[in-house]
Amino acid sequence: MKIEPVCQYSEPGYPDAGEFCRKSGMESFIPERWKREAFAMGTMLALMFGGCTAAFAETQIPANPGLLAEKSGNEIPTQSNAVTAPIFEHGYGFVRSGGEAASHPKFLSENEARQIIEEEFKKAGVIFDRHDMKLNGAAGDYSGAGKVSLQELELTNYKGPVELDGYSTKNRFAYEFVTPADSKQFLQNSSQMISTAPPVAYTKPAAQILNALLARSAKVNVITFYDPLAMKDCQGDLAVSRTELKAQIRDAIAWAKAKGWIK
Amino acid sequence: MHFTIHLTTGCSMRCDYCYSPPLKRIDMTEEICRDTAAFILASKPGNTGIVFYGGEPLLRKDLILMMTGLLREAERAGGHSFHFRVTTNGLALDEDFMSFADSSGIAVALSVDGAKQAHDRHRKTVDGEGTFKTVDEKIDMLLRWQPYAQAMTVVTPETLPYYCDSVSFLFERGFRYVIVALDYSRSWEERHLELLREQYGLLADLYRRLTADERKFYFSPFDIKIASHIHGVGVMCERCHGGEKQVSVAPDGSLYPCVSFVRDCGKDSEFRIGDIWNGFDEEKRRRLYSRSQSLKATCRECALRDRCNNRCSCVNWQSAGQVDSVSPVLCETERILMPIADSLAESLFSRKAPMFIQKHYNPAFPVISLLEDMQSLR
Repeated sequence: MKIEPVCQYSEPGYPDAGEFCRKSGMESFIPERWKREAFAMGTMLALMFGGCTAAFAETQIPANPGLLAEKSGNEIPTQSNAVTAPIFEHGYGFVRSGGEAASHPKFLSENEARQIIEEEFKKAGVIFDRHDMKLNGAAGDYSGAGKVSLQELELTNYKGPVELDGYSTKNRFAYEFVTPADSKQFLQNSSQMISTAPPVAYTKPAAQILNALLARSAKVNVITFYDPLAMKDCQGDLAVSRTELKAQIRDAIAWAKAKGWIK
Repeated sequence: MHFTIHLTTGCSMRCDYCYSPPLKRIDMTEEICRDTAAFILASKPGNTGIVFYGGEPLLRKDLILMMTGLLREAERAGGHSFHFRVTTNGLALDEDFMSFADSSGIAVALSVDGAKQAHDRHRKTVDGEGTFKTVDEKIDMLLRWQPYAQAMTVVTPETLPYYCDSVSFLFERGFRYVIVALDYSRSWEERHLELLREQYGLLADLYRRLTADERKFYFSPFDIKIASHIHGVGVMCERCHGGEKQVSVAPDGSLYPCVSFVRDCGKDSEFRIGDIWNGFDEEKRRRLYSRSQSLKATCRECALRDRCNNRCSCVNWQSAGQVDSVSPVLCETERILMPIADSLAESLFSRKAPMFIQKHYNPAFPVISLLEDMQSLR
């Protein structure tokens, strides 16, 4: 037996993640078993598109009366036929740890992210004049009503309201930035049970779950952003995260203009 | 950051391949357990994995309860986030513990070598009896509580003939996550390499069939190598970073970079990088880490160097005697595994197997997988 460097090794005949994302969409590869498991198709679909699609089409699902604005306090004026924007995917939004090891992500603070989002929108003429708007209901009100119930999936005991970070009275849409802490609301205590590389932070999947919930409520026009959780050399890289968040915002503004949300 | 807490050096088994044989039982005291929790909390890592380890950690269930309670309490107070795991030989696994693990969010991994011939070859009681029957009886209970539980399997030259049969057995018994380590410290010969190649071929057929049938099946040797191509440097981040991102706490409160080094207990051990009362010896810690992560001279010209397990300091120490040396057997086995894993992935990708593509290209797959696992508990 000997140590023998391999001088030449053919490039494997399957793409790396970047190449796959450039050429394919995850929606073409849905296992039959998942299609049969109707119990969670809404959530499953939301998550399946987490792979590489540039942005899965905006969702408009018939309203569920469960997700209503609070009667008092900081409620959001509801809209008929409200639209939930697609997730604008820039940044992996997912960091795993190994069996014994862990990557070191760095998280954007919610305050900084809000500042970036609101400054970028301000350049497009949008002012978010109201903050921390609550939408009651969420998971608890979905049992039996559809297929997106997190409670049905026993993922979490989350029953609290969905809280949106900002709302523009003039432009009539809200935004939400999903932090790793937010994501834990949706997938509480479960991150260690998946594989040898459990996720330590998963903002993009959480944003997709949230988007599915918001789309089902269809009570308010909303755009969801997520912490890109950029990594460089195995360490979190906030500078790259900021750039990727700005790219999410750039796409969101272009989309909002196309939808007439921004004149 | 991951902390592996060695609650005891004692064990109810006498596996002859154990890298930390229980020559003398030393248990962590309750005081050291409390101090360890305080050390972890003072370290203030944002997201922390706690692995209860031994010897056999379930010999000290009381300490698992204590540590989990202390850390969960701190978590409720805010500023901390913990996920727990215990790796057990299964002998002391019972409904009470599984109920506690369930309510406390502790993932249980079972050390089991698969088919009877393989398991009983090494995993024996103090009296030298095989433990297959006892452990096998615990599997249903474990998977009833945690269908996503991992099987942790060691393969030696002696058990190589049963490698595929063992993995197949574990799958049939219900395990969906099979984590395999080759025991490089044993005496490997050329004939074993041929046998390994043959077994990997059989395993590739099994993996291909199960994946094409859309069965959930994580088999670490193939999945890690495939991921190393698909995700490149991202997978390197998930590898061993002994002492930097993972720390072992010995029963006496000493800190080591990884589990294997705990056997080398002693104040003057070259691998002791501090203790829970005085913290890390930063210089020693950095030096060891740097040594373990350095690219070995023998590997510099190798086209597979970035996908190889050549930076695992435990494996290097066990097999080559140095954390910064690679053993010939590691090199040989990696060169066998890589093309088989790539060929397997190529065939599954070319036939557009949805489960393969979701598993390896969808970053949300672990979450989807979790949804399924949780659903199966209903």
